[in-house]
Amino acid sequence: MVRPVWLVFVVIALAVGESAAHFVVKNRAPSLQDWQRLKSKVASLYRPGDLVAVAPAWGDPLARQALGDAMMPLAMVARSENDDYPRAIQVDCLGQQRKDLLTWPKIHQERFGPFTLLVQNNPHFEPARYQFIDHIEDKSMTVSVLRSGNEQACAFSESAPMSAGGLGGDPTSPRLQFSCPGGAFHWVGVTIIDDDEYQPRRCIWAPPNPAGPIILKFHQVHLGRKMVGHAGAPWLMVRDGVGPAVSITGATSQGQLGSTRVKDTDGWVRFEWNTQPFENSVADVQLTIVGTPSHDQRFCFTLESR
Amino acid sequence: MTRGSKHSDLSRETSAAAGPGKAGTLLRRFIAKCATDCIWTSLGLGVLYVVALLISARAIGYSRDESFYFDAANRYWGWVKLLFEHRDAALTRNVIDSHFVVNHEHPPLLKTLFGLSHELFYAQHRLFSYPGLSYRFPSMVIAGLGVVVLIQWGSRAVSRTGGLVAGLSFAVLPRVFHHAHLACFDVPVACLCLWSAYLWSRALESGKLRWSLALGLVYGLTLATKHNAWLLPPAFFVHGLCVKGGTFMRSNWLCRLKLLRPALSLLTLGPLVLFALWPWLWFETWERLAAWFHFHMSHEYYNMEFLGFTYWKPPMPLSYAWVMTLATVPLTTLVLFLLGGFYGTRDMLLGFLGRLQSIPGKLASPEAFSDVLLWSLCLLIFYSPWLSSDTPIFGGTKHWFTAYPFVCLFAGRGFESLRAILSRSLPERFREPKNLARITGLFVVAVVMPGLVTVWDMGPWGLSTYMPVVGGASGAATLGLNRTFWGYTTISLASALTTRAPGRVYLHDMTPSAWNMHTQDGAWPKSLYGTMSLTDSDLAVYHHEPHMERVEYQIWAAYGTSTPVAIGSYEGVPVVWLFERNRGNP
Repeated sequence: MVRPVWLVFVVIALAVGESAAHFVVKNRAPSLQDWQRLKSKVASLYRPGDLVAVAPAWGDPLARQALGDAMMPLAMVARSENDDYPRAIQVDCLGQQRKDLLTWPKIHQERFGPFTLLVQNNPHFEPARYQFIDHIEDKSMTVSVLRSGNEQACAFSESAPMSAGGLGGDPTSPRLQFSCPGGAFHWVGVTIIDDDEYQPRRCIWAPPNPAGPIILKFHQVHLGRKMVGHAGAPWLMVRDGVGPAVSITGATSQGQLGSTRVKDTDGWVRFEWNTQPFENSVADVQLTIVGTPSHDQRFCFTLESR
Repeated sequence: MTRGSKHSDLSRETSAAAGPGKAGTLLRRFIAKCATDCIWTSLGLGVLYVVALLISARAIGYSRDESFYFDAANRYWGWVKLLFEHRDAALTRNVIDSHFVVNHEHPPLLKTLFGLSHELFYAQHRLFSYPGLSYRFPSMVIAGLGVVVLIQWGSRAVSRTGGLVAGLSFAVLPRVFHHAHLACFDVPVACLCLWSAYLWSRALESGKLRWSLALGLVYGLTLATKHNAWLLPPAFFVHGLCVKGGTFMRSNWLCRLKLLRPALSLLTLGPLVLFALWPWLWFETWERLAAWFHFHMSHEYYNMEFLGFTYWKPPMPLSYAWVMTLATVPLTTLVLFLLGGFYGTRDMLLGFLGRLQSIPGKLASPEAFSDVLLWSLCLLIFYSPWLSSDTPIFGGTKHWFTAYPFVCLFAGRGFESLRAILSRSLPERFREPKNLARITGLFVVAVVMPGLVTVWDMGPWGLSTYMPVVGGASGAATLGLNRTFWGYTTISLASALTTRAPGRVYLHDMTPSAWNMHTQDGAWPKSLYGTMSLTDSDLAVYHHEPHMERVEYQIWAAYGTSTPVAIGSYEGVPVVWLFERNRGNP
């Protein structure tokens, strides 16, 4: 019988190698202390308005803990896209880089312990002229439901009872909110939902109302060449795709700015409205959200003028 | 080592040595016996395994399922106590149903043992210093006995060192080691399936009634542990047909009946034991059996991340079981398993071709071929659910733990083939028994070392542990393999929670019952209250799974910050983190 003695040595080498590899991989990723040491270094590179991003993505909570809300504010962590940010500080470890920043030119690169820090310029930077989400709590802003041709105002409260639905439920309702007819999740305010990749999206919660179209009026909006928005519903709640589409339409007294329909199964959808005819004007903007009355539909969106 | 045990020798020696001041001598003799006698070796290692589990248990948090079983254990044991105190009342349907309706989707054996253990070892006699451990103890004992049976069977079918490698490889499988701590059913049912298979082998081989009766009894216990037991009979019957089919056809009716004894015991005694142990079945038996069957055959789908995608409905990925086995079982064990499969199959074919003389020693016996066939069938049957894309994948690796003892038996078989090759290839001076024993010992240590070092380091992070083949925990996180489930890692934040007491803690993915058990154990002050209401909480614990991130976002929105104040991590990978209301900036 053939006696492949080399097999014995292969198995022994494998066993020893696997044991040794355990000690290598267990110390491969940066420790909590490494992340904490990162704070002062990133702070020295940071400029207000910078995007701070981490690769691989699972390092995100560690970066948030180390850098805090000052360098990783909630609005940035739960952003819809990167175009609002002129620069990014990318914190890489384990040789990983973020795919969404691959094409951004590097202006600075350095090693810091187990990290590689990249400072990158955004070649697609488009500053926002007006971000609707920043004005949801303006006193001048109004929300109403169009019922039988009459607008019924949704009452604004600065101390509404908060609620959070947990794993299968609705997102957190904020203290600052407009309460609309229908109760439960029929409020308008700023919250954070999960998109179709379970990523966070900070957005204006404005679900279609069973009583009629819901109308959000923003005053003195600075209009540019276009409006860029994102819309969708909490993915875990709608991913089986049972509800019909929700539409959002924007208009000024001069005419319609654009309209978009989003279905449950579409996920977090980016849309653009061409507003070149209104460029550089300031106008009151009315957003109308319409669903299907027989369905309990969720809807959250962002919109900004560029 | 010949078949049959020598345990009677020890009892004689024990008697002779008994007396004042002889404890040290007894211990030395016990250790010496463990070193030389297979049954005592396996028992010694089994005891050592239970001790290792007991020592390392405190750091491991209570999982969701454990907490359901704590409640069920108290109810079931409450009924047993009632049976002794008020028998007539205990046997009425209302009383039985009110006790056993709790968690009736799983049979009662383990839960009753958890309750018994808690009553005996904590409530009555403080053998354990905290209550949670007393519930977990029965699973640990069964796991220890599983190691014993593996070593025994491996020793019988392969060789003593082969058995040792099988038992140790199983003991240090990282996921098995983690689950062996828990007051759950997954490791116990894996061990009981192994015992059933072993007894089937013995009953079929010996033809003796006592083995058949033992088989029926143990199979009944297996049925009363978890539904994985349903899969065993087809594997056994195919095996019996292959091994004894020819003899059966050539025999008279009396001999045929004798050959059928194991199967008859399996099919009659087994269900009878299940029925006797599960009072829930004493009423509306068929309806409740059908409901049990229906529950598990149409189990709802939970979310599970695999290679960066969260699956929550069919089709489930067909590669799941194989990739997860590769990612969580030491590669060395898998290579030995493949070698064992290769040599076992080759020898089986040679046996059928009548070329037994070309195979060394006991590996040439018909029983060894029979065992190899039985291991193969058990392995296939326990992995077979994952050949369907309709099978849920939510349980991670634990749902095919029942296959792992057979993986390890093959690994023992593979090891033995390599050991034989090595010993015949060594220079003459190394072939002396003493030198050969040392070399073999080093070889055994080498092949179990990858599992051992992983288990040594993983602490409370059993479900986050991955082998180096996928880059460990950080490699797995980058690949998008599940980082944790069952909400059991809150305990790793105990000191961060304690420093923030008093307060109300939002329990994400953790049950109040699990929280309360930790509180009873003294893991954190009683001034910390668990709450299911995020908006009423001061602190919030988040256990990471992609589909659960929406709960983290709810925490952010409620607390006004996305900055955790503490993180529990393994190998640098965050697994669980803590938020504090109005405490965004470090």
